[in-house]
Amino acid sequence: MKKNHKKLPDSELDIMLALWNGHPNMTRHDIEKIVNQKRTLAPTTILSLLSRLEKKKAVSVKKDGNKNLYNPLITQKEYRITESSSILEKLYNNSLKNFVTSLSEGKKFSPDEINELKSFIQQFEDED
Amino acid sequence: MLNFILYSIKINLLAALIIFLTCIISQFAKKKYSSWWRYYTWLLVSIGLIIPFGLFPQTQVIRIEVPYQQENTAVVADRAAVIPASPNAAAPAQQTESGSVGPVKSSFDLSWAIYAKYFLYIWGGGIIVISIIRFLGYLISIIILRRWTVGCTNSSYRHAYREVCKIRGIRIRPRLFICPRLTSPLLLGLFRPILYLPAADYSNSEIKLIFHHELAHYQNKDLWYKLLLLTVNTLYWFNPALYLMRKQADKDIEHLCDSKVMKTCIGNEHTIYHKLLLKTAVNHNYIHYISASLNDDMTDFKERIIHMMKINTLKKGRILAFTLAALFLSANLLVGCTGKQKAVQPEDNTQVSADTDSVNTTPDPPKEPETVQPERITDSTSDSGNTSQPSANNSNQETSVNNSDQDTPVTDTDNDSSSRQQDQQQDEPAETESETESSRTVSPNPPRDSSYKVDTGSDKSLVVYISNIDDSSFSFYMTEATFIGEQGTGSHYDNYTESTVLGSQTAQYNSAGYYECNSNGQYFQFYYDSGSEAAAGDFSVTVSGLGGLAGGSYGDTATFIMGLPFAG
Repeated sequence: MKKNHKKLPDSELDIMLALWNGHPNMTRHDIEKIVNQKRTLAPTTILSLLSRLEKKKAVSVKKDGNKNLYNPLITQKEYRITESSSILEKLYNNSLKNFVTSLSEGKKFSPDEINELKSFIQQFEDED
Repeated sequence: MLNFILYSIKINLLAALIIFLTCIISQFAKKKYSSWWRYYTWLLVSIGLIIPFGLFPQTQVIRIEVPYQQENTAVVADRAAVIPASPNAAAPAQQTESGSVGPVKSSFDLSWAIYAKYFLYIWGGGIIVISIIRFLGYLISIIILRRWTVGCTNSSYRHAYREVCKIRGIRIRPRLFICPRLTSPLLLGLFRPILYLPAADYSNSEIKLIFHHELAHYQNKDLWYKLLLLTVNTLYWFNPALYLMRKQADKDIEHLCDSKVMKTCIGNEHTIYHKLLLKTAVNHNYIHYISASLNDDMTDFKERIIHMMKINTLKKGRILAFTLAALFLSANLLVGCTGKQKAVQPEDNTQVSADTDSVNTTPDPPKEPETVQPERITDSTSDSGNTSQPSANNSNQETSVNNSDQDTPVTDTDNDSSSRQQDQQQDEPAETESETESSRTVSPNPPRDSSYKVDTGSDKSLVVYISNIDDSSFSFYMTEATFIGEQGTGSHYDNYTESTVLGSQTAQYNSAGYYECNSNGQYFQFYYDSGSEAAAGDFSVTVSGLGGLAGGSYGDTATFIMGLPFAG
């Protein structure tokens, strides 16, 4: 597998995301269902995107009867690394937190701290 | 404009005070009260910062006044004294005059208005810059987020989601997406919020708790709350207390959300929740582009856990929140800070007024707004030998020849008539009869609200001092000098030497607080010809070209009654 992938355009990335977060051996229809949750793409568009990805060796195709089954050839993690933080991303690292609510703020705890917190939580568990 | 800036500073100080108080109270309140009261205190303070309801003077009981303009006194010239005195007039005795006359205090006074202007520019510029940065950051993050979003196909997630929405009574469900780059679930969007989940494997209990948490935020409209606080913080970026407030508010929001989640927990779900929080906090596998590197410490985490476990025993603290808000509101309404021209009219509703910021603490020379008639005072004390004056005319208004008869509350230490000056100041409002003490009186109908000083030099020249906070220079020239007096009116325009009377002159604002023309140290000094007939009584000077003053808000000519200080 290539280590160095060029950055995929949005629409192709959508296909990949569907493949990575879906299940193995997806049909075009499976992919379509997922992608259309985000944006509506015609089946032909999806097919052309898939063939482009196939050419880039990002996707493998195999036949099952009269259907095509697709699988990703690169992992999400790998690809993520190639598309690592740009300078802009780094600069605006924190800016979204002003505008969102989230479960927890990624605090950086040391392993010791984590253990301490684990036992701290423990006391409430035992209270049950 | 000055008043607006003063108001902004006032409310920010008040807000900072309240925030500070809140933090102190929190230390004691922690044991008994939940984060509820703080949440509402922040809310009410923020609303109070946005809605300017403390801006109106009618409600103000305590008023702090910032002098920003020099008062203007037109010192009455005794025309009768001019003649004999005119030999003195020949030479521009500006030195003595400027030395003694100077609106000494004025430079400080006036600079308040200039400070205000710079403050406004910096403030406004800061708002723009910060807003742009924040907005850009938001946009970039959104673009990245959206790019890495995929629809949620996990049917158990979707099922749990529907279930939780039903329990919470949510009809319009935020759309559910997965974003593999996230490490923590995220609710985003004001009008059609979207719930983003990281691409992690959550157990059924975990995912339900996540949904409860984020949907609690949704139902509580926490995103709007955050936006309000952010707006206030952006607007008043110079106020450090607001950053503190936001930071604490973020925690309080989470505390309240946690407590809502706790309500639906059964069995050992709370432990699952705690562990989930810890897990999320610790998870650093992914590249954080939406990490809030607040680096909240362990204490915060522990406090969060404690808060949600004790929530059933903690009180809301409604009274606490209400009291703080009431404090803020009442202080806002009752205390005012305005710029005050050291001028004639005291405001009607001022009950207490203190010059907190004036360099000189001498009080305003009392002025009478009600005085319709120029009051005349005779002064027998002019240095330049006005001895003839008292005999000349009772009705003469006499200015001390010394230009030190400023009624700016300035100390005229150069002047041996300084003590007299003090007297004058006190005398002013009351004097109607001629006295040997010179004093200043109030111009009945000041044509404008800038402040001027018309004075006489020791040589009986007319000196016009004008202070203007908006312009750094302006031109005007005298077009007419008319004598109004017992002897009737007449134009004595001709009595003034041409060189200073005619033509326009450009006056530059000098550091002593008035406009200087040329290098004379005074400006628009109009010399009275020695050979001309003495004019006794009031004098009116018409000055044109003053349109540039005070923002050019009024017309072009001003008529000064000689000897009368201007009601600013």
